[in-house]
Amino acid sequence: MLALPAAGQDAGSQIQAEVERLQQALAKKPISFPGNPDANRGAGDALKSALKDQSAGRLYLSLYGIGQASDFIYGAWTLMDKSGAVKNNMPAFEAEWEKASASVAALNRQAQATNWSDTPVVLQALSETAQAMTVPLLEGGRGFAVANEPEGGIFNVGEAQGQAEFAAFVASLRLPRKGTPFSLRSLLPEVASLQQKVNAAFQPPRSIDLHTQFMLINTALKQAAELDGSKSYAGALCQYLKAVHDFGMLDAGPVETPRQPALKDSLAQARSRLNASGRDESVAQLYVEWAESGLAHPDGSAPSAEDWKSASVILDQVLPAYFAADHAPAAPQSASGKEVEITLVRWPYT
Amino acid sequence: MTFVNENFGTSKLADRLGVKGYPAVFVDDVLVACPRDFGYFREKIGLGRYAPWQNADNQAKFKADLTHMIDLILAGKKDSALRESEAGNAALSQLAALPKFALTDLNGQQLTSDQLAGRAVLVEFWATWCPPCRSTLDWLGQLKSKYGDKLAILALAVESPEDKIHSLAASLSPGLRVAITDPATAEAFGNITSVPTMYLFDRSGKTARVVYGAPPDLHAQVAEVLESLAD
Repeated sequence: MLALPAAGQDAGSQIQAEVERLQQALAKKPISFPGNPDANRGAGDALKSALKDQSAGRLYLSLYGIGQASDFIYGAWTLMDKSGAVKNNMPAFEAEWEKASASVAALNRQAQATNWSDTPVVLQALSETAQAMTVPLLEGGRGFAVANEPEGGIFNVGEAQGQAEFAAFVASLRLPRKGTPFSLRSLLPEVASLQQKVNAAFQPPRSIDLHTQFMLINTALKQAAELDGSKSYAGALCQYLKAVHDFGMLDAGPVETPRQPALKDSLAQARSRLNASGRDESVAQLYVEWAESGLAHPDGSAPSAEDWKSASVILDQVLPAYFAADHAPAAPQSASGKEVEITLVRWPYT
Repeated sequence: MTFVNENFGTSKLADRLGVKGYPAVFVDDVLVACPRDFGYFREKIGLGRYAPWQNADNQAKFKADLTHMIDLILAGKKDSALRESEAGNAALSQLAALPKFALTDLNGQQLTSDQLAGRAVLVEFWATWCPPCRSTLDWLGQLKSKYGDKLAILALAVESPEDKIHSLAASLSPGLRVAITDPATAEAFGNITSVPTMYLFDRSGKTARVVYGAPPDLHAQVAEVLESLAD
């Protein structure tokens, strides 16, 4: 159930309240998965991390974390609550599915009614992305129920609810936009170009050793293309940049110790430039927050080699791709006419 | 060339061709590879042409097969592509006759192709998780009552939990011979890529009809063939 903001409550307080609401709910109803004793701790850690980002001023990253946590927590709760009732019982599954679909549709309508013109574009991006995930999760859940057992799809139905709750929560935030709007446009040429590079890179041994990483890149590209196709350009931009990051990580070399202070300085400079910009740079700020978070562990532990690489990729590849997204795309190559169509039927998010 | 991503659960193309699960790959409307080819979805089978996927040779084989299929369709040879699709996915074009197999049915009795010589044979591949299979199996019980010993009906389960197979089989007509398909039998029938899939063989063992899925005219199709086979 979505908590609407109290009068005078700012976005930071709203985010804090949302994390605390989820933490309290998790305390009342801990996640209990047979065979996965760490599930509840993992969800709790994700919320703690979101709260730490919020208190450090990394609001956008904190929101991103809430979205990830909500997906899993709602999926898990639904599985715990409903799997017994729908076990071997397709009509019971369909009834739960209908109920969840109606609830998701209502939340999506609420989010879609948002006027984003005065808010940072990254909020629109996060809300659009979450909304776009709801229907594939619902339909995929039903697909599992039909192809396997009814209880096999109930987790995904819960995930859809979590995404819809998150999308509506983001839409309810009271956070004014700073500066002029970022000019959104279709990024399909960039998405297609990156997809070609990813396809070319998918060669053994990396296609085997880095299989998971390739799945993440392809998922982000697919989401970017779908969002772009529905003119949800803010969400498409965010997902495209995620794909740029993940693809960059494939080849990124280690950031040796002598280079690390300079990289930190560069990151601070990037942060300053974005903050001083007269334009809404919130999408870029999300990625800078991501890099900063990786280099400043709240427990004081040293950043990992992956944290350094990630920060380096954000500075060297993600931010340039972000600024390039402001320019008109290169003229597309002349179409040779569709001759053949290759269709991949896949799970939407792996 | 256009590349299209379709989400599991909403693909009309997959529905139309009776493909459950994911991943599945099509070139235009020709099925190139289905979940089982990758050893996915019902993982315990793991006998797919490209399984395990995280293997250089299997990835290379898939790329070669996909490229070949694209080449065929671009060359205007869709009929060849369809034939190869069937050959690759179900070996239907090669399944001219009832293949050799030897199974043990759920009652512990031997069930072999040799025992079926001289009779019309209906083989239904089914799974516990497949709703259309359930209604087809019930209908097969009615067919058994009608044709009696003139028609042998084999209900061969694939990719399903054994306890569920037993529990579902207990509710079926006792005239049906129910067995769990083993890898050798699945291979002999060309690897079953979708369920329900039904084979009808005449009394000489020749393939008379193959039906994928449960089309609306399934009963009429099968009745027409059986009228000639069971005489």
